[in-house]
Amino acid sequence: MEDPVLPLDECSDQSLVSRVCQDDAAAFSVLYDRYVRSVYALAAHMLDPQEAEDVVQEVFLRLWKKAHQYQETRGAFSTWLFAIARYNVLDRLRKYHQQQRLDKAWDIEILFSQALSEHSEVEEQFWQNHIGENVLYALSGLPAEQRRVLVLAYFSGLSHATIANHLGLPLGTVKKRIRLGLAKLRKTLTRGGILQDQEEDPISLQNEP
Amino acid sequence: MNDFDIFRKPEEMNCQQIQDQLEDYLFGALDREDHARFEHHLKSCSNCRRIVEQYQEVIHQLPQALAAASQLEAPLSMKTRLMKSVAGEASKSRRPGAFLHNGRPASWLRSLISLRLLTWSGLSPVFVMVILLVAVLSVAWNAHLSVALAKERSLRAEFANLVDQQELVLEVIDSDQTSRVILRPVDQDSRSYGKLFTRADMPHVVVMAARLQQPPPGQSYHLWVTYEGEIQHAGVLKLNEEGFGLLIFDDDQPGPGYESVQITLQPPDEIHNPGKLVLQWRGE
Repeated sequence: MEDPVLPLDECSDQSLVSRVCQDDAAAFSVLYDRYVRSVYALAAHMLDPQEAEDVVQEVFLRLWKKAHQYQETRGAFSTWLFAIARYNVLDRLRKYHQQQRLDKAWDIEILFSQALSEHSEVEEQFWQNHIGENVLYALSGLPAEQRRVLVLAYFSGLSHATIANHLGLPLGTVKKRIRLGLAKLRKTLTRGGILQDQEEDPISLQNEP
Repeated sequence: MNDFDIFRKPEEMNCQQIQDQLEDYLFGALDREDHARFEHHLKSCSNCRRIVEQYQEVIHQLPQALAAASQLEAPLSMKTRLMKSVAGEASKSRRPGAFLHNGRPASWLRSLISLRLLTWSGLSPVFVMVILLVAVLSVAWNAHLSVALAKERSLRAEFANLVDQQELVLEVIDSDQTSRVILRPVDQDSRSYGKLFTRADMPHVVVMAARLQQPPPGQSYHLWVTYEGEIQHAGVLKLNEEGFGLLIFDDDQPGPGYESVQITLQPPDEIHNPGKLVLQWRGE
């Protein structure tokens, strides 16, 4: 654990999670403030407002009750939390028609396109103020067709075959774009310090355009 | 096919197949069997596990990018509501102070303090005795009310929980994404058995056991699961009079794959080491 006199809002996620495991509501409050905007955005762009609020409530209550299930050795805390949030959202999306899910994911893709075009002439430094902006910057480095399939697959939760059918593309093309998009995104996020530097990229980039 | 034939060892995947299906796995697009085979390989291959974890970190950055691009803000009232729930959860795990009500001295105590401070010097010993008697009766009545209210709250919570759990059980045990393993008795003369259900796309785990003998006084049936060579306590089974036991718990990942599952008999509070083995399943 970090220096006990460090203010809570300067503590690492891991340190705060350890405190939450000991019923520390103040540490929980800091984690909530850190991540609620992202969890809410994920839920509110795919579900109706009431469902989105329910998802946020469930995700953070799960954090409060099950914080001990997070294992630092298996990845960042945010990965664990967003995996739970995505699972909750997809669980509720099952009652929606495929087309509704695709429409909502398309709206997110349009939002990304607008955000990226509005800031295309701004210095890279601008994007690096916050993690979210840094990830947006990394997304701006992807060819639009790679970003599109990543966004549709992640947010709609539909199979790659469904997405290929929707886009009128062969399944292999969709898979290839996802693969290349992921590899590039990882490279940029690592360069920007968002992800830890690892050994050589495990996914082959031989076919990268 | 009988129950004991249902769980078959999945065909091994190699590292190349893991690479080929990486993105399907990351986005939850694998079918149940391939998902199980994929996870089976990850358990024994630290290299592939590392790759998967790296890419999970990549895809789950997307909500942060969305938050940066979006104008949507979580309503402030949500946090107030959540913190109230959290405070409620926290208080459940602590014994309430016998002399406190909502953080303040109970009303009978406040009255007594007040009387004592204001009129103590002018009271006769008999009157003091009467006041003390009233105070003792008040304590007893308060205690009785507290117990009754706590019992009612507990029953209501248990009922609400049961309704939720029924739906969850159906979701987990009856879907095309469901996997199950059969737990067999260690004692060959025993007719008891159990089943553990998981779903490839859910972290919930349902365990049922039947024909269990009623445990001796001071003992309960516990469930233990082994993951990556480490045995973990998963919970205590609720047992009815017919010897049917049920436990529902959440793993930290969808479709958890265990190396072994055990049901043991031991004291309810003993959650660090497995006790006497009753039922078990071992993966090959």
